[in-house]
Amino acid sequence: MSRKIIIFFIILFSAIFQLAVLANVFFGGLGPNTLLLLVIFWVVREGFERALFKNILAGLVLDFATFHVIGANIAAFTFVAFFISFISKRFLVVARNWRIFILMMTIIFATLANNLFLNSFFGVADYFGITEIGSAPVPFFSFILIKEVGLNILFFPLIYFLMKKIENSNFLQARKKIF
Amino acid sequence: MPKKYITSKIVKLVSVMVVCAFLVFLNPKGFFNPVRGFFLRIVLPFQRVLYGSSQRISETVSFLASISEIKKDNADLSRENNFLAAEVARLKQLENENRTLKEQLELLPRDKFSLVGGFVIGQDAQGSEGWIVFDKGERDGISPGMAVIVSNGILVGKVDEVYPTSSKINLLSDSNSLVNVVDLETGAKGIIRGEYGLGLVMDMVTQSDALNVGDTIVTSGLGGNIPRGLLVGKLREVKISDDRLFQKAVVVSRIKYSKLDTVFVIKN
Repeated sequence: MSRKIIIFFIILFSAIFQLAVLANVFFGGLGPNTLLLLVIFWVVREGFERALFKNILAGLVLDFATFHVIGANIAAFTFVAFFISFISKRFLVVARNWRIFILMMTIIFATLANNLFLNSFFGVADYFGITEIGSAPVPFFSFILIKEVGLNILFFPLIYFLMKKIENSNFLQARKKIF
Repeated sequence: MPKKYITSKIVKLVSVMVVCAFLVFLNPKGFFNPVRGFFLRIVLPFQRVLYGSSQRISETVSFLASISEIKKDNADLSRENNFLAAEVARLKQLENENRTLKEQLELLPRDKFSLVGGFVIGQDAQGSEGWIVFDKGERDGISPGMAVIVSNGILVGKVDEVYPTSSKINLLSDSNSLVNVVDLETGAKGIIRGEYGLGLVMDMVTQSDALNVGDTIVTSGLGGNIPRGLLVGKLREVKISDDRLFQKAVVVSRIKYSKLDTVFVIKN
């Protein structure tokens, strides 16, 4: 239980950091999608099913924080996680020498898939006349999306090592043994 | 043994998608607003501290990056100062003319606004400058549709959603934002909205109206809670709309939306 609480705080802090710090520090108000990077990290390390709860929680927190209708980012993260697990299972294990390259391609794919899913979702909602769903994502064919992909690739190593450090910390390990 | 196509993974994926579809299509957005309000109340203090700190970091980085340019800027500023001294004399004469024009246009004096000031504590991280989070809400008398300005009376957006202690402000650069505006020089009326890649676009201007590059665009006061005469920006480029029925123009605001730190909501 306490492990889940710690994960919740990691997700919460990540969302606040994304909206209050990263968007402010980087030029043009664009920051890396830290929650998407967390989803990639968890799915690559634990697989789709074990990381499902964390992905849903990350999507829920992002829906609350970014004023989207509840469900939009949950669905997007679950969709992305499913396909990342597909890629990581087939390529990351087999081609160990190409790990960094495959991981980079996974981040690119995840960022594009997340955006494509949200754009399709907004399109479908618009078709059904549901307008109160929050701000639309950036268009799929836009330069901003390329910048986001770049920022996500740059930030992923930081998230990866930070999360690895937290997961290997004595505190979490001790808790893991007790519960 | 036949291959199993419906795995537990696919079942879980489909289940999440179905639940999300139910949440989105059956529940209106307002259904979760009390929970969202509670969530925003919890994160407000952290957001306030982090946003303030990151603003200072951002300013310091910008300052450090600009040191090499300071010498050149100094020379430019000296030249500009001489030019401006001459301009001041000319502008004093124009000031009287401007006062008369304002009276004729019945612009609402900016000191008559009832303003609620506060800090920006979060923003859209997608780089589309769509919205910001303001640290004042329902408790401070804020309601949806109210105009949001910066200290010198430049319109930056409208209040979209209000929670007890915070509110979401849709910026003019958001693609969903629509505000009625008028060209101060020619009187041409239109609608300002955000457009990806272009910033602000003044649209729906009839072909018979005149739009000139450099014209000042202000709010027209038509519809909604936006008072008349709030500065929006200046015209940079005039185009014909895709359907060739209207004219549209790219408007440049003096405000960098991604760097907002203090804003004011007009209550009346």
